[in-house]
Amino acid sequence: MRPVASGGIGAPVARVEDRRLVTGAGRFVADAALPGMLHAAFVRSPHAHARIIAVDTAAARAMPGVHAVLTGADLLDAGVRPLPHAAVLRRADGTPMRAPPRHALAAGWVRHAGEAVAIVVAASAQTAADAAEAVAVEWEPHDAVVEARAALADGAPRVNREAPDNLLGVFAHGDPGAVDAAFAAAAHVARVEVVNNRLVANALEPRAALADWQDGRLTLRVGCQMPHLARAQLADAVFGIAPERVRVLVEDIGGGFGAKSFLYPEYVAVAQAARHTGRPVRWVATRSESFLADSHGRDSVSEAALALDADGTFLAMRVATVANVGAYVSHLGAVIPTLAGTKPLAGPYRTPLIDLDVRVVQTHTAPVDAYRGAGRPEAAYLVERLVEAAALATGIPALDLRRRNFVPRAAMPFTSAMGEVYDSGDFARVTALALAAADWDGHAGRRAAARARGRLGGRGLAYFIESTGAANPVESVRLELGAETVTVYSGTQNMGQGLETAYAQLVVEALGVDLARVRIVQGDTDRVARGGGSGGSRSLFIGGAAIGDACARLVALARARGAAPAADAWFAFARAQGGTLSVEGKVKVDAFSWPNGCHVCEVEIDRDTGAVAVTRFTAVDDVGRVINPLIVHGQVAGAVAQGLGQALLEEAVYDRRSGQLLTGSFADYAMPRAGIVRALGVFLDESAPCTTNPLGAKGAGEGGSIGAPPAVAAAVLDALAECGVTHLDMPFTAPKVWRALQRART
Amino acid sequence: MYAFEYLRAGSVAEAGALLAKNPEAKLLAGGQTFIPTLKARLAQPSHVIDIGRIAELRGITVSGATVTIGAMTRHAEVAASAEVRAAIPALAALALEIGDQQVRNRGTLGGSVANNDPAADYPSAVLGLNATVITSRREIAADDYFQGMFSTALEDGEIIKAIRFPCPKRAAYCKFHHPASGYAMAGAFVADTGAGVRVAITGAGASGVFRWKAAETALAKSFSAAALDGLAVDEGTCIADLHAGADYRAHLAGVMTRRAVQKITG
Ligand SMILES: Cc1cc2nc3c(=O)[nH]c(=O)nc-3n(C[C@H](O)[C@H](O)[C@H](O)COP(=O)(O)OP(=O)(O)OC[C@H]3O[C@@H](n4cnc5c(N)ncnc54)[C@H](O)[C@@H]3O)c2cc1C
Repeated sequence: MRPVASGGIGAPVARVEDRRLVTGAGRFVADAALPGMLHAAFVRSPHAHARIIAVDTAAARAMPGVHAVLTGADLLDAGVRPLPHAAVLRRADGTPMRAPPRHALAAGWVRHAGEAVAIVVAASAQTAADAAEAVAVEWEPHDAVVEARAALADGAPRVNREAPDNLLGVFAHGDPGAVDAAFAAAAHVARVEVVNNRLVANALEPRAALADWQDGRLTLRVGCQMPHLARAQLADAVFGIAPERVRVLVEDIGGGFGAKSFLYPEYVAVAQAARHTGRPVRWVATRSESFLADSHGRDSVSEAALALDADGTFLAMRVATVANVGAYVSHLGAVIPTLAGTKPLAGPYRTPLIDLDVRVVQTHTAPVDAYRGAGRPEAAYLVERLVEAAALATGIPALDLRRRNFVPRAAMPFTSAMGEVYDSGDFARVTALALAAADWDGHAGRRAAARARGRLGGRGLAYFIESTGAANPVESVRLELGAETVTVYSGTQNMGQGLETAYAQLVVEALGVDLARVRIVQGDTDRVARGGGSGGSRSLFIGGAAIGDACARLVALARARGAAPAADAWFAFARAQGGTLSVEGKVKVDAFSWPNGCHVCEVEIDRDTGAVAVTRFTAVDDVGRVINPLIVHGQVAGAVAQGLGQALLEEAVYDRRSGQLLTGSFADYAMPRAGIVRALGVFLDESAPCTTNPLGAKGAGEGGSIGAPPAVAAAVLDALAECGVTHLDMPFTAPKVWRALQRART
Repeated sequence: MYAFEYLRAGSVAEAGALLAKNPEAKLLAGGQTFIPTLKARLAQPSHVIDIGRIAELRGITVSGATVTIGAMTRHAEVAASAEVRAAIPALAALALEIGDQQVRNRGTLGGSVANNDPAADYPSAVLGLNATVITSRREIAADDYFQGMFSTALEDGEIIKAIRFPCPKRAAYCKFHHPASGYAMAGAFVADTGAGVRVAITGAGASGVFRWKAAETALAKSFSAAALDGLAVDEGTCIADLHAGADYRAHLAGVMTRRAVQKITG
């Protein structure tokens, strides 16, 4: 054991931001008010697919207290351009993907229920909402399609009039011929078809924006995980102005989970409304608006097959995925099911060949974008369901199959069949730790006890590996040593995940100063020069590494001046140097990091009702070097809860005919509550730190949401196996499980 | 919400007079149903008449073989009441299963019974225990009171003052929680009243709470879970929605009824 410096790396320091957050002193956009501020409300489409014939705003404009009503046509007239997205795909014929332009306010057509059509700005939020109802829109409704596979069918209603069909683009990997040969030679073939259910992120704090446009400069206060990205998108793509003329200000964020990473139509409309009225304008989403118009997560269907030899060695995997990207391509909408989500598709296994085909499809639903895990939960779920199916096909226990096919530690660095280099990891060791922590062998007794109570017991295990770091490997920070404090300016973003604390610990470790002397400044594009924001679990191991670099530079600077200060002597040094010393730290991390873990779930199923109860859940995660175990435990536990939500409860459902969102409130969209798991054990293994970044950290924000769904699925199917149920799709709701039992019985 | 005028009534008579004067007015009790309805702009009352401070609507009285609970009594008060727990433990247990602590601290018996949500818990106790709804105008027997989803015998301007529950010989409530809302996906209130057996099912019926007469007859002959073997709620009368089919709800109503009987018989 390495000694842990008080408050330094590895110390379980209580989060410095928590006092502020739990005592109600957090500052969110809805808490910000500016003199003369007006309030915005949106007119939203009641239709999933319709042509806008006319928008009559006269009655709304005439209402007392109403300052402006802007429509899509008004924004076009003002030169406001559509929101940008990453157009990374090609169509099968090699031409670039073409998505319909996503105007901040719909122009001509609406393509999903809840799409914003007009913004009303008034003296109060109440008046704005009243006036929004007075805007009369004449619609020409059209048929809608909400499911990706249905959208590919001949004659399906069309989302995108600029393309010949609803297929936005394709993404392929591998050598189909070689995979064919491997399947032909295989002793066993396992097949699955799995649905990855569409989710709503449901951050505690709904989205909100406050725009102020003074003297030609826009200041946007917004809960955004990537402030500099938002600035670039607003300045370059949407308004066509210099980035210096946009300031993005972010205070506390009440949960982001990926869905607050990028620009949204409402932010653009609010900004334009502020420009138009010359007054600050604020909008705070209702929960209903969040359900309708936040980007959703997941939503794909995959058919997959695994070829094995007689010993259970994986020979090749074939995957065909249809991913629903929604009505418009949100920022990373096309990237997540393709470039990003398929990186870890080989899983922790040596499978030498993968043939992958992804079709990204548009439908009349809310755009799909990043949500905790973003593509990687889909990959892990698919691979682990396939391994479970392979156990059935071969008669070899799934655990043995996994052990037989794990990439051994000695083989690191290892290039997977997806062409990705895993730098580190000890999957066999982590599995052994998980089996012990979960009392794997004690399950038989608990299963018997469950049976005595009339319940079906089940046990499942999943191993996941994920790629973290997003595609943006660069981060820089400015570090200022003052007479009393050390201040770090970072363009990553705290959103409740504890960066203020973890970053401060890195400074404590490097400089020996007290934690209380460290300040972390984020979320202001005026005060922080640049940054990639927070997403894909990148902040700590890239942004944190930049802090390490800055500290090293400060030490070098002191040494050059003949000093070697430590602890409080740093402040005396600063005073002696005449006040403030400033250094820039910068890193480019050359590779993705590969957090991984083994999750074990036990369930009990009530045969009569179909209800699934998670009785034990054990997560052993390798997140590399742990800077603050308290924070990582919290991240894993929270992500596991979200993963259990996806596995057991959550599903955004659209009506197939009308395209209406049927799960538009918490009365219909089931969120996990504290009781979702009765006993949760979280363990961290630091024995295989990351070798491609200076901290050795791997990113810890997403693993739970990746490992939990396949672990639950394995446990549920294990419990149901004796009744003859071999397949179910998430969420494993009571009615669904009951129905499967009924079918199996007949 | 749409704008409305807020009025606070000091007595049932005053609340009645305010309702009579303002045909578009609505009563506000615990607000756990009404406030979300207002927030979603699904109701547009001219006036909201707050009955939360009317003393005569509060309190729990046990006299002889009945328990009378004022309409403004909160779910949490019923759940915690020593009198209710002694006289009709199943009723206190039911109250404890409503929503979450915050909802139970605000929501009221009168509000729940006036609203008659098809998945609410209290209606099953009112019907199952053969209670009497005491209003500003009259007394209404439970069998006459519930008239379908969100529909009751209450007339315009009629205010629930209290509910009088006869104490049963034995009773139990069993509920399967809806995973999202926490309401009943199906709930069964089974009471052996002394004069007979009553089984009230909530959550499942397309017309709201209803009595499962076949189960009542069977249990009256032999009060045991086995007596229900072979009986099923008619799925043709059950709710089908995105959460569950009518067959599941019908089945679940049966399971909850059996479990309620088992709770009683031990
Ligand atoms: C998150 C959540 C979860 C919930 N879960 C459950 C649950 O599991 N089970 C369950 O049964 N309920 C549940 N509820 C509903 C809750 O029990 C409500 O309190 C109840 O339905 C209404 O009671 P209230 O006092 O809040 O009435 P209010 O919302 O104030 O009023 C409801 C309606 O009744 C009328 N009204 C109120 N009092 C009277 C009266 N004395 N006479 C005549 N009319 C009157 C009002 O005008 C209004 O139309 C839940 C609510 C929420 C918000």
